[in-house]
Amino acid sequence: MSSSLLASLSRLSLLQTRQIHQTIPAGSSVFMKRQKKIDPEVAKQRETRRRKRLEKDIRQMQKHSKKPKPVDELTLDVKSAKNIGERRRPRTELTLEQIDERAIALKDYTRSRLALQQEDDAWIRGAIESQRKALNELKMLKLELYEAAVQPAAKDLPLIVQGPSLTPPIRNYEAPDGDYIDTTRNWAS
Amino acid sequence: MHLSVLRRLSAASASPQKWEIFASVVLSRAPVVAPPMSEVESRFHRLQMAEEQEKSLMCNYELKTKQDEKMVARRAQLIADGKELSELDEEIGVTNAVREDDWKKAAEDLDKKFKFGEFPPKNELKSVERELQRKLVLIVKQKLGEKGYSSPWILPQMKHRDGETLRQTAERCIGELSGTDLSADISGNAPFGVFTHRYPTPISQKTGARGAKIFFYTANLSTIPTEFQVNPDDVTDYQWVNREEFWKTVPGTEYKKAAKFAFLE
Repeated sequence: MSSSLLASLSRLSLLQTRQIHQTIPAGSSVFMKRQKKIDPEVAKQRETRRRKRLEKDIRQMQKHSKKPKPVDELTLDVKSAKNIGERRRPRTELTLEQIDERAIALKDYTRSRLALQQEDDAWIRGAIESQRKALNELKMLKLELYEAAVQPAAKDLPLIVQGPSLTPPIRNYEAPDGDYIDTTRNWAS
Repeated sequence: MHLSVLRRLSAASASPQKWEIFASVVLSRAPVVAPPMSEVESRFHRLQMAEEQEKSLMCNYELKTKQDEKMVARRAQLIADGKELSELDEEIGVTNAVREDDWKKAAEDLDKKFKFGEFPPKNELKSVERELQRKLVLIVKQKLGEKGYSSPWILPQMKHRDGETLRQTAERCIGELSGTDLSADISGNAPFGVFTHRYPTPISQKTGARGAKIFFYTANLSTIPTEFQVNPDDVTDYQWVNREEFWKTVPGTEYKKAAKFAFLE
């Protein structure tokens, strides 16, 4: 009794269903393209050629995998390093006043940056608070408008701003003709 | 919080007196030219550059300059001794001093041609190209409500219509006020500030509204137009002003305070 129940359960199991969904053997399909018979000699040649190409690729990869992409700032410029003695400047002796001036300038500058940061910070906090108030007012006036206002404005992004330059752009400036040459170096991957 | 909002909402809808909703745009022109360094900054910059120069190694160009100086000295020596010079001239070639002169001349020519450092001194308040180092904001005298009434100096504003979002109202505001094609980007869907303006009794009775709630948006000119004009049907007068001028020209301290966060430089 129990064994027959087990047997019927096993028929319901995953294994059974998997066996039902078997693919048809590829070779026997009518729609499959029949493989051309090729000369065993040619096949052998092709095989060796493929093998050689693969080996070459592997060798290339091994060669480059040992060498990491160089960091220009860390590499030694051999040509310039040869006469490094000539390149050293004579030591400058600073007077006490000069040392003081530098220290004071640095402190003043740091203070000015701190003040600037505090100003920015106050502005950001104030702006956020102001916006919160405005949104609250809007919520009380009209809920639909509030709902629309708090939606993210995905269209505005990405925002690209061209910073101020030192001189204003020249009106009606015609750029000289020329080809664009990309000198970016490529590293084998 | 939620409860109180709900209560106030229901109170607002129950009372016959309501608020008119306006969207106002702070249309600004970003600084085109970087402002000069402050005294502290320029001193620190100068000293820092000097320190860096002291600690650096000489580059090839500087080595060549030193070599040139030696050669020129030797040449002078030979001339004094009255000897043959032709051999040495080839060795010297083009000295760095000569090159520098050439470069300086080329730079002067370019400067003469394009006039880099000179900004056109456009100081009339209507010009978008005035005060290139500052952030400017558009203020207008706008025709509002009754015919012939022109507002004091305000930031351009527009009454909200049913069915549009506040941002769309702000966009319409820019579109209707400008006489020419204008490319400006409004930043964000949410207003950054609000100002409540209570109407005096006669206007309040006439319009059936207690006052106006003006919501502020910021917008930036994405390109600076060669000629800026406003729509004469809506605006009687306009100015481009910086922060201090805005504070001086526009009346209403509370109004200005509500819009002050558009003025970071």
